[in-house]
Amino acid sequence: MTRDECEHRVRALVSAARKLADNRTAEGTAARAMLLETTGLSAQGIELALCEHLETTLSKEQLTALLDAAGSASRVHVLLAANVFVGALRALTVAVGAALEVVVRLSTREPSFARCLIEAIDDASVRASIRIVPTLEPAPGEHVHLYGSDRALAEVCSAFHPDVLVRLHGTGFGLAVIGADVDLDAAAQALARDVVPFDQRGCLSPRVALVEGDDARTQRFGEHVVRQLEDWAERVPLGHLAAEELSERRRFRDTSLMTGRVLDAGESVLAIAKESWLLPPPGRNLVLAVCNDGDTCLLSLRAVASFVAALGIAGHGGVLAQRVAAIAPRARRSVLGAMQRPALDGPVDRRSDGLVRVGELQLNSRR
Amino acid sequence: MNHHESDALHARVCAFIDATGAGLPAAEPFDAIACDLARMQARARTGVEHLLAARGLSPENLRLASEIPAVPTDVFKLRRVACHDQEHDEVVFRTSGTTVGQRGCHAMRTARTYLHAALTWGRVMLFPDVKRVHMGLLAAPFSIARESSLAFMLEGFTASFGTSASWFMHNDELSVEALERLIKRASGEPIFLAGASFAFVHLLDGLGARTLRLPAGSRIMQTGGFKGRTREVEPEQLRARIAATFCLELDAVAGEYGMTELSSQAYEGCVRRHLGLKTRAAPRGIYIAPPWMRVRAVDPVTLAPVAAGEVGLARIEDLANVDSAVVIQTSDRIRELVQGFTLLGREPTATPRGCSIGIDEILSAGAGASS
Repeated sequence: MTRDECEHRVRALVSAARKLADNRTAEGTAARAMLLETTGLSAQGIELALCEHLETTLSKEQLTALLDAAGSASRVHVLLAANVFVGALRALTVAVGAALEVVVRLSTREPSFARCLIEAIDDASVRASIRIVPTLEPAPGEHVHLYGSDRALAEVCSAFHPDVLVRLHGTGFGLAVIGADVDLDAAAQALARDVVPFDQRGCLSPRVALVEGDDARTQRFGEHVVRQLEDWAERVPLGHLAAEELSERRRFRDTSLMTGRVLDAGESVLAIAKESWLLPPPGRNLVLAVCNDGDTCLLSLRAVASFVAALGIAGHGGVLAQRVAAIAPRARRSVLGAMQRPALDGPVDRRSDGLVRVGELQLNSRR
Repeated sequence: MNHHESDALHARVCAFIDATGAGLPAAEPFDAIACDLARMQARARTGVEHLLAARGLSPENLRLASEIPAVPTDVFKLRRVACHDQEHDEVVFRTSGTTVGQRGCHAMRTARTYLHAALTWGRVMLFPDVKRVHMGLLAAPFSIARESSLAFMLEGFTASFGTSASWFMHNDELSVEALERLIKRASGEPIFLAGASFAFVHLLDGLGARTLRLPAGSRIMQTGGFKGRTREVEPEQLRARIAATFCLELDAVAGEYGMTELSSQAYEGCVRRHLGLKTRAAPRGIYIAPPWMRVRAVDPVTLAPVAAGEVGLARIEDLANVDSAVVIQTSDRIRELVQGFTLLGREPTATPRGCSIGIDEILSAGAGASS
């Protein structure tokens, strides 16, 4: 495949995405109806995702970076995940940029978006080069891009030949850093902008915010976040939470009541914690960790650093931000408020080691 | 903390154990003791006072144990749950694994009540027919595993019920030779083998296809799951393998349900059934809690009791948890039955959907030996 062909294929997908983002097109209308059935997001949540978090622009520099990261193969297999439906666009652009032939296994929970996206591709040859299959059966030496939880990926990989090459995008979460010099209201607005999309189910979604300063400052910040989340909930209501998610929220709330303080923001639970914290479940819940002693704060973080997929920094990035970045060096970094708008410049998960032989894989190495 | 108040409650709980363990009525109701425990624990600021306040409850108005909010087991991993200061710890049991850099712990000012409860119910459910047996423990002794509640309990068993005791764990290796020596030494007298389920798997793997016939009257206790281990074995499959390897009836292999966050244990009623006893006996799979411990199935979201026979999460009221949390909330799915309860595994985590991490995935990061 020539570079021009790669670029053309990627642009064809992005162009298809623009059709889906537009609620005036037939494709956009159909996608919205299907996503309402499959994602569990509210209608407003789907609109937010399509209009604000689907990559519909692509600069020359981003395209270059994406193609450099994609590599080259005769065929790429892709397993898509369910939690952030727009992720299918990035996954497919990386795949079509790498290979002329792409084989896709859709998420069983949310198969609609990827299907709509493929069907919306104008160029028939590009469209025909992406084949949807019920099971991935890569041959030795072929590339497979896998998106999902570590456990699911391990199970999938166990069925592959040891010489299959896999690129993994596994389990993770987002972390926000609120520096000492930051305006709390502005930071709260930015944090909420990152928490609300996809009801916080993405691996880039911040679930913990480290707040530099004392307990009182964290409390004030929490009150700002409460207002922001309540405001967002009126404009973009929380979607459906499964029974297990509701149970985890109850567990998180009761645990946090005993280990710190809890602020309620409608259906969201914010826990203010000093030393130890329980990771909140998705559904717009947060831990606000008091960081007036960097060492204690970071000690808690070290144990889970390998799971930090994204770092959102409010302000100019002070000492705390630098120390956090050093603990999670491969997390994708961005300004707080833009964590859920990563540039379309390659795989979103920068923790990945790239392509690895299944035979050499140690999915539990992070543990 | 008022140690006199704690001492008095320990005495009341032990009296309750003495009476009900012997099948006699207790001098005072379960609920009265449970509520007094909750009041002391709230006053001592174990954290339960925040749960009470959040539910609009006053400790002074508690009348029934069912009104006491349950402390999630996660809390033991994140903060100290104890009425007394650290300097008064007699023993500290720790959970397996790590959570955000910290292992969970259950500190006890005195392990006297814990031991009393364990021995009383152990006698009823595991040794109702014999005074003493030869003991084979698939674990390290408590002198080495000083944070293991299982090792502590088994040490208590050996002192009270053991003719002899052999500990088979040395430098993290299980010794088949030591087990063979125990069988020879027992000379046909009953043997009690006990250990964590994963330890039995390890032993069975070491034995391969061999069998080791245990003497008539022998019985086996296995406990715990496989969290963090590289292999999991389905419980009934494990029981069958154990029974076949040691040439015992299936009913001679009983499961124990306990955890670091509790002071009491429940056992499958099959050993008593195997021995032909009518009371506190039940088919395999049904666990029977002691009278000082109530295990209830509750709705995972509302924590309200579920309808009889329905599946819920185990809420456990344990009078022997005198200085910590008289009521805990687990993530274990159970079904309450007339005779007892069945275990159905852990609550499935809501996430992961895709790459988003779930609470239990992060909790189990770095999991090691269970106790």
